[in-house]
Amino acid sequence: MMSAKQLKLQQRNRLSEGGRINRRKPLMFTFDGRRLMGYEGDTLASALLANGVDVVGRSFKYGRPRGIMTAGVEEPNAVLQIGGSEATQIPNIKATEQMLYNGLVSSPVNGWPSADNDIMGLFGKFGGALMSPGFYYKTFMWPKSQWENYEKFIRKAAGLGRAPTKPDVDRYDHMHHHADVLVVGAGPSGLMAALQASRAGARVILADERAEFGGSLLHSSERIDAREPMDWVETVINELSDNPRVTLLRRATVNGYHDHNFLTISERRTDHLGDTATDGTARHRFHKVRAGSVVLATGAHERPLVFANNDLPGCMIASSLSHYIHRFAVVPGESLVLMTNNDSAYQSALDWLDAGRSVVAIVDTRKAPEGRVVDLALERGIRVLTGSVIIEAKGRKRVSGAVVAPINAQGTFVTGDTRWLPCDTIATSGGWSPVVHLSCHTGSRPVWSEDVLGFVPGTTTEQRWSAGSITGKQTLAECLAEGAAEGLAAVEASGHSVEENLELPVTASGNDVVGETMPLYVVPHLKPMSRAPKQFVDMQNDVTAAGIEMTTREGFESIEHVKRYTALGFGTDQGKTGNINGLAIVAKSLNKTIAQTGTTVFRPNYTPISFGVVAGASTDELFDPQRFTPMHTWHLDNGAEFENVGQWKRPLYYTQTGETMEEAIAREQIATRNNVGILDASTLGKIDIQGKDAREFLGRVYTNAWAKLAPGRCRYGLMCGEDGMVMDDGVTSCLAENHYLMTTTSGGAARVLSWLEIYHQTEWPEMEVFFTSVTDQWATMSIAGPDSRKLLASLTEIDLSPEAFGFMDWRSANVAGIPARIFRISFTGDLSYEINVPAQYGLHVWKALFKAGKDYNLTPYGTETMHVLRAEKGFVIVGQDTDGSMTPPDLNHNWAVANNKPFSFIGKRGMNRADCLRQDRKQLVGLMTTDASAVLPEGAQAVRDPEQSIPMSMVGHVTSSYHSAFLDRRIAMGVIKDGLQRMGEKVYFPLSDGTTIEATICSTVFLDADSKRQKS
Amino acid sequence: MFLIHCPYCGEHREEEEFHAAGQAHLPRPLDPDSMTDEEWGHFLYYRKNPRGVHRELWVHAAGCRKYFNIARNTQTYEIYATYKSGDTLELDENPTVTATGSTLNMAVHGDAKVQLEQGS
Amino acid sequence: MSDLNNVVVMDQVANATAVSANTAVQTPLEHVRAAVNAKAAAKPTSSVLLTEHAVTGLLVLRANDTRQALSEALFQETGLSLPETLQSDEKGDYCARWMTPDEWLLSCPNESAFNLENSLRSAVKGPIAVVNVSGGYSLLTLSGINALNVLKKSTVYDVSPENFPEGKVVNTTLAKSQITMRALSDGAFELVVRRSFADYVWLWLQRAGREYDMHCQLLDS
Repeated sequence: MMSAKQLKLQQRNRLSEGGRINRRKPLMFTFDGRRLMGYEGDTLASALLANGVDVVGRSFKYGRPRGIMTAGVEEPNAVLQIGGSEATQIPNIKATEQMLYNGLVSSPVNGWPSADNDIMGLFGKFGGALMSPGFYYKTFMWPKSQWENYEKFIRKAAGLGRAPTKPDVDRYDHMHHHADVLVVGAGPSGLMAALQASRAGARVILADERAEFGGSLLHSSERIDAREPMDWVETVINELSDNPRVTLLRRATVNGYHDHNFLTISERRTDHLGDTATDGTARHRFHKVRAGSVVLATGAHERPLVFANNDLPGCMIASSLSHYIHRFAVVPGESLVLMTNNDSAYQSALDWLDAGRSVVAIVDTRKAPEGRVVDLALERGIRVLTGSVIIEAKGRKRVSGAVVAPINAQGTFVTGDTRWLPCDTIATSGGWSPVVHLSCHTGSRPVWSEDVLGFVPGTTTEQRWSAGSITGKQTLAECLAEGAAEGLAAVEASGHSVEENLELPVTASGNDVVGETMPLYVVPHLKPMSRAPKQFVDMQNDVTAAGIEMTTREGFESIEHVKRYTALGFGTDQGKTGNINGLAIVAKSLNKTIAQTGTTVFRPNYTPISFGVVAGASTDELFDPQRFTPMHTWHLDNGAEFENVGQWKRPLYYTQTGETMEEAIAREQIATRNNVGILDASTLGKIDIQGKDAREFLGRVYTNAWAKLAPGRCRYGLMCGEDGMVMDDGVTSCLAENHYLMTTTSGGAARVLSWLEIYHQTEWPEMEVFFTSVTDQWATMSIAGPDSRKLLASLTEIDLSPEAFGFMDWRSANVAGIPARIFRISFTGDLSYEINVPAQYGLHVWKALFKAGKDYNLTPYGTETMHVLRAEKGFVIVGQDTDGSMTPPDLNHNWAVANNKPFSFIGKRGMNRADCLRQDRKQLVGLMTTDASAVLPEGAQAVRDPEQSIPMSMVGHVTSSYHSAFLDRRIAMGVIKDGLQRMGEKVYFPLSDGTTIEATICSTVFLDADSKRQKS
Repeated sequence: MFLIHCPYCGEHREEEEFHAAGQAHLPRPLDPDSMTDEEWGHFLYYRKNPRGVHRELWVHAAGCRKYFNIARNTQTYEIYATYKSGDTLELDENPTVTATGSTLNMAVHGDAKVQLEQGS
Repeated sequence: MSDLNNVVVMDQVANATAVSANTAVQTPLEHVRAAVNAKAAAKPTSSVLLTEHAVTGLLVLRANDTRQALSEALFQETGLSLPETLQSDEKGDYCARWMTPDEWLLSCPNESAFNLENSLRSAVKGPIAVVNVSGGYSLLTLSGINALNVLKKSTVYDVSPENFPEGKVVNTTLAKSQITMRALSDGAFELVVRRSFADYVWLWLQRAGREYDMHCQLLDS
C-alpha cells in the first residue's frame, strides 16, 4: 500500500497551486484496480489525468487504446463503469461529468480482459481492414443460424458497460415547476439573461449541467468589470440566490425540450458525494418545468480536426487543456503541438505555457492568420507554423510525436515535405459547434451558418430565445450583450415589463481582432483517405473518415441512412464531437454543401439520464395506486391472497392453515352452496343517477327496457358500444322514480361514467340527469347461500320473507344498527343479498356479520370462488367471456335486448348490421368435457374434426374453465361458431402437448336451471 | 406535453389532466335505424387524419370532467382555440404555416378562448 | 329515509343508541396505519405536517338553471353561497367548493348532512341533485413551510401562492391519482381524496415529505 504522501506525489500532472479544487480534501479512488488520489472539486477525468492515466478504455470495434479527449459532456472515450457494490453499479458514466468522491471505484467498460491488454485490440489489428461500415450486417449474418453465437462473442468483446444485477437502493423523485423564464446554461450569456429576467420580477429558473456556474468563465482569464471572471460570476450568483423568485439548479442537465415550452431537467443531487445517497434524499431529481419563455444559453462544443491516428491517448480538444489547467490545476502532458483552424485555440497554448510546460509548436491550417492572439503567441516565443497541418500522430499507447506538412489554401492536399515534431500531447481545434440539440427537440430544424461554420437554432413555434455561443457569438462581450438582450425579450414575452435595461459589464479583451476560421474538417494525408492510417470521426463508435466515404460510395446519400449504416453519432455521446466532421465528409463525397446535406434529428435526451429519475417516486408500493376496500385490514388478518382487479386489491381466496389454493377454493364453494358465504364486493363501480330524465337515459345506454322498472326493484342491464358489442354489464336499481343506482364491473367504473358523461354532455345536453360516482361511498358485501336469509334476519329488523322481499327487490333497512340498502340480487345463482352501507361502517358491519354467522359456518370467499359459482349458473363476465366482438345475441342474451324501444339505443344499429346477424357467428355456450376431470385450458381452440390435417379450421375457443367443487367435475364456457344451434354436438380441443380433449356443446347453465335456489 | 386552456375552468392546465376523445363535431345520427350498413360504418369508423388544422374532442378528466373542443395544428402542435361543447368556431382550414407558427383567420361563436391573435 | 321530488334521501349516520359511533366508524386510512408511526412526536426539523380529519359530512350539489335558487337555499341554511369557478366559500364548519360548472362539494358536520340535504331539496323547485358522499372521501391537511414543496413533488398544478391563493380550489392530479385541493391560510392546503385512494395518497405524501422530516397525524383509531 502506498502512503498518502506517495499517492499525492503520484499526481505528476498536478500543478502545485491554482485550480478550483480543495487541496485540503484529498479523495481516494480506484481505477481498474489501481489506488489513486485526487481532490474535492475534481472530476474523475481530471483526477485520472492528474495521475498520468493515459488509457481509459479500448475502442468499441477495433479495440484501440483511448484516452480522455475533452473536459465535458461531449466526451466520447472516457466512458467508465463506476460503483462500489453490485447494487450501485452504473455503466457508461462519462469521467468528464462525474465528480470525484472518496472511495469511488471505477473501471473501463470495454477492455476485455483489461483496458491495457485487450483481445479485441489484436483482432482489430488483424481484422481491422475488414471491419468496414456494415461489417456486422455483411459478415455475421451468414449463415443465419450462427448469428446467436456471433452475437455472444461480439457483445462480450465489444459491449459498453453492464447493468447492476441487484436492485437500486436509492430514491428518486420528480418536482413540477411553473416558471416565467427558464434559462438553460449558466455561462456569461445565461447569467446575463437570468439577471435581466429576475430584475423584472419574473419567476426564473437557471439550470446548468456543471457543479459550478460560470460556463466558459470557469477557465477564462478574461477580466470582467476589471475583476477576475469568477468574481463577477459570484456577484451575479449572489444576487440571484438572494431573490426568492429565482431557482438555481446546479448539476442539472436540461435533457428534453417538449411541446409548449415543457422542459425536463435531470438534477444529480448526490452523485458527487458517494455511490449511494444518504438518509433517503433523492439521488436524482427530475424537474418538470412549464416555462413561459426559454432562453437557451447552452454554448458550443469545440470540434477536433480529423487526422491519421487522431485517437491516440494524448490527442485532445484544444479548449479542454484550459479547462484542466484553470479548473483543476492539471496539465495533461509535458510537450504540446497544437493544431487549429481558428483563433480561439491559441489561448490553450498560452495557458499550457503559463503552466510551465513546453509548447513545441502551434500548427495553424490558415496561410495568414490575422487575429491578435497570433501576435500574442509569437511574442511569447511560441513557434507558429502557418498553412500547415498535422497529418498523422505517432505513438503506441500515448502520442510520441506529430507528422506535420504544409497544405494548399483549400486544405485538400499536402503541398510539401513532412517534418517530425516530438511531443506527448496533440490538441486540435476545428472550430465550434453550437449546442443546438434542445432547440431541435420540438421539431425545429437547425440552420447551417457559413459565418459560424456550424448549425445554429432554427425558427420555432415555441417561446424560445438563444444567446451566446449557441448562436455563434465568439467574444465574451458579444455573449454578455446577447444574453442581456435575449433575457429582456424573453421576460417581456412572459408578461413582465422591464423598467431598466441591464448595464453591460465591461470586458478587457485582447481579442478585439478575431481572425476568420478556415472551413477545414478532415486533414489531408499523403495517402488517399482509404489507404491512410485510420482517421477517426466518431471515436465512440470507431467510425473513420474512410468508412463514411465508402458508405457514400455504396449508395447511402441521406445523412440519416449514413448515420445508421456507420453508427456515426450513436452511443452515449451522440456524436457531439464527430457529427459535423462526418457531415462534412458526406457533403464533400456527394459534392454537396453541408447545408444541402443537412443534419440528423436531435431528440431527447441531450445526455443520458438514469432510469431511476424517469421512474421517480413511482416505485415499489407506489408504482401504481393500490386501491383498498374498507374491509381490507380484515382480509389481511384472515389469510387472504390478493389479486389485482384494475388498481383494486381483491381477495382471491382465503387460506386456512395447511391448505392448498385448490383446497381453499373448493372449501369456499361448498360452504357457500350448502350454508352461506360472503364476498367483499365494494370494488363494484357504483353511479348515483338523479333527474327526471334518468329513466329515459338508462333506456338509451342500456340495451334492455327500463320504462316499467318500479321503485324498489332492480334489473340487470347490458351496455354496448355503438358497434353493438357488449362493453359492460351490471345491476341498476330504481331507488325512486327520478333516482337510480347503477353498478358497473370493478374495472369498468371510470369508463362507464365517462361514457354516460360524453353522451350527456355532447349528444343529449337537454336531458335532466346528473351522474355521481359513489363507488367509494358504499361498502358492499354480498352474502350468498341457503342460510343467507337466516343470517341477515339476525341483524336486521325488516321482513325478509320471499313474499315481502322478493328476488330482484331492494329495501332500506338497518343492518347491525347501520343504515343500509339491501339488494336481493345474485351473482352465484343462490339465495343472496348484497348489503350496501356507508363505507366508514363497512368493517363494523362485516365483523357483525361474522359474529352472527358463526352459527351458519359463514365463510369468506374470494374472486376465484365467485368466478366458479357464477360459471355454474352461466353468468358471463364481461372482458372474460367477451372480447369486444360479442353482441348480446352472441352471448345468448337476446332477453336483455329490447329492439322495440322507441329510441334507437346505443348498440342497436350496430348489432343489427348484416354481419352481426349471421347465424354462424361465434356464440357463447357451455362445454361439458367427456372426461369430467379433463382440464380445458382457457383460450384452447376448438375444431369440429380432430382428424383433419394441419392447419385445422378452428371454430372457437374456451373463455372460462373451472373445477366445480359442488358439481364435482370440470365445467367450461366457450364461444363456438353457430354454437347455439349445435347443442349436443361434439367439439374437440387439440392441445399443444399433442392430446385432444373432447367436449359436448351444452347450455351455459350447469346448476339449478329453473333458478329455484336464487328465487327461494 | 400540451398546455391546454380549459374553457370551463378558465385557465391553462397541464396535458396530464386531460384525455383526448377523438375527432370533434361528429353528431350521432338522429335516426340510426334508417341508415345503411355502409353509412353506419362511415359514422362509426371513418375519421380525418389531417396534416394541419384539426378539431378534436377532449375531456378535462382530472379537472372539471367536462368535454370540450380543441382546434389545433397536427403539424406544429399549435392550439388555435379551445371552446365549449355546443359553441362553434369558424376557422380558416388552410392556414399559412411557417416555422414560427400559423397565420389564419378565426371567428368564434360562444365563449371560445382564442389563443392566437388573428394574423399573428 | 324520506322521498322528496321522487328521490331517496337517506340518513347515513348510525343512530347513536343503536351502535356506539366511535367503535363503528372506520377512517379511510385504517390500512395505512401500520406503515405510519403516527404516535411519533414531531422532530425539531419537521417543516411539514400532514393531518387526517375526522369523518365529515360531504354533499355533492348539482344544479344548472337552478343554480341561483340552490345558492339562496344554501345561504339560508349555512350562510354560504355557491362559489364561482375555482373558488370556495367557508363559514365555521361549512365549506362549499366549486368542482365543475354544475357541481359543488359541500362539507358540513357529519350529523347535519341528512337534514341539510332535505332542506335544500325542499327549498329548491326544479332540477337539482344532492348526493351524500360522506364516507367516500378522506380529508387531509398539509401545512408547514415545506408543504408547497411536497405538493410540487406531487401535482402538476401550479400551487405557488400567486397562482393558487387562499380559498382557491382545483381538481387535478396527485401522482397517479386525482385530488381536490384547496389553498388555506398560512400556506396550508386541504386535500380531498377518494377513500380507496387515500392510502396511496398518504404513502406518496409521506415519501415526498421524508426529506423535510414530515410529521404525520392520524386520527386515533
